[in-house]
Amino acid sequence: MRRNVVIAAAILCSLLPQAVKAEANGNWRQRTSSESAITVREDIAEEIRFGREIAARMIGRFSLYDNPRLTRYINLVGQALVQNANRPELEFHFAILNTKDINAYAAPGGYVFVTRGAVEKMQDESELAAVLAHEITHINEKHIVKELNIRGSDDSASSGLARLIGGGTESARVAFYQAVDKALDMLFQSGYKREDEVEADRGAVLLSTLTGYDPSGFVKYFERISTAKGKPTEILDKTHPGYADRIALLKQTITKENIDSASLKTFKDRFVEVQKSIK
Amino acid sequence: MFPAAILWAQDIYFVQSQKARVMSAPSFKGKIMGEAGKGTKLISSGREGSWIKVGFYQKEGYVSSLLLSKYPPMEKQTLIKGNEADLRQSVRRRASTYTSAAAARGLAQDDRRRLSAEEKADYGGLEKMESLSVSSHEVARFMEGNKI
Repeated sequence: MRRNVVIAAAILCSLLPQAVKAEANGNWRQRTSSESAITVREDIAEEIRFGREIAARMIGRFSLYDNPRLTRYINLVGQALVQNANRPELEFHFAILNTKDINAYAAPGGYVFVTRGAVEKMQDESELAAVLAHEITHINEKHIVKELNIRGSDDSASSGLARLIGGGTESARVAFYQAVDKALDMLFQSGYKREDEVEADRGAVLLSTLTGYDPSGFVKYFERISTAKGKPTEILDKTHPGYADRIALLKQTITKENIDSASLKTFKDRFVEVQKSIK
Repeated sequence: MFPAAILWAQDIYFVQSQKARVMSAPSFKGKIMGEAGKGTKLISSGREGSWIKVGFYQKEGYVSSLLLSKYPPMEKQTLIKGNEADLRQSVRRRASTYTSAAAARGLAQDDRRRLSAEEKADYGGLEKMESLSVSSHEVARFMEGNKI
């Protein structure tokens, strides 16, 4: 018996380093347990730094819509959603971009944008909440961060070499901005991976519902903007799956999750009142 | 023999959101059994769809997987907010972070030229965006249906 225990302990000890290694290659939360807290803080700090640069470029491209009342309102809706999000380490920020385009964007680290054109097309607060929840999910699931492998530190041999050769040089700056350009290309041209968009739509339904909003607002919003005249949805259309597919997925998720839309809020009156402030 | 149960412990989850409702069934239509606050440790005995089955005051309940993680919630991380020069300085410190990503997934030179021409950074606007905050008390009152 004693011999069996010793053998089992030896097997366990031999497996542990592999388990730790497997965790280190997994998601960031898994890294939390296997690497130093400093490494994880570096990862998050890097995510925020990267996101700040992307956010600054987005504002540079469209400018902020100067409407303090509407901006505060969007922040209240956004922060209500964030209370049910699973990234407590991030400070989320919400803003309106001054463009007639109908769209919304997320930059890593907690930066969420919705366009003035999108808010004009909405009819109640549940629609706004769903759009913000979709973007929050992109951030929560680190879709851009994973796609571009943005990390505060990297223990691979090749990057260690790169650090020795190129750390603190112009090449680091160029590489950073290349990654930023790639992220902007994803947001404006090529789009996220299809599975990331599906995950963000599903996440929007769940996050809206957990916060108390009727998620069918997302369906109504898509049905409305799918017939928008002109080209205000040009970027949205080329970077996202088709409306019919998205609407079908949303309806399927609402049914599967047994969500009773009638018991949830739309806050239509409050939304319409604030929406009037758009000139 | 060494019991497998000793090698593989039950799953432990921590609440990441401010509060997490514990439901009597894996459904939004389930009865609300109670709420677990941020950081609460919950022991899970399984998963049903997007719900994690957990022990809650000697009973079994369900919490949305969206609100849980296997690791304790982290403290809020913030950067010292600076100006453009500060941001650019921070970039210079680490080559390794971006070299592999950009090299492997980098844009064609034409794409980069196009983006660089189109995108101008507005750090003043960014700081304005970051400066707006609302308290959790304001959010709670807002979700009760109060006008703003």
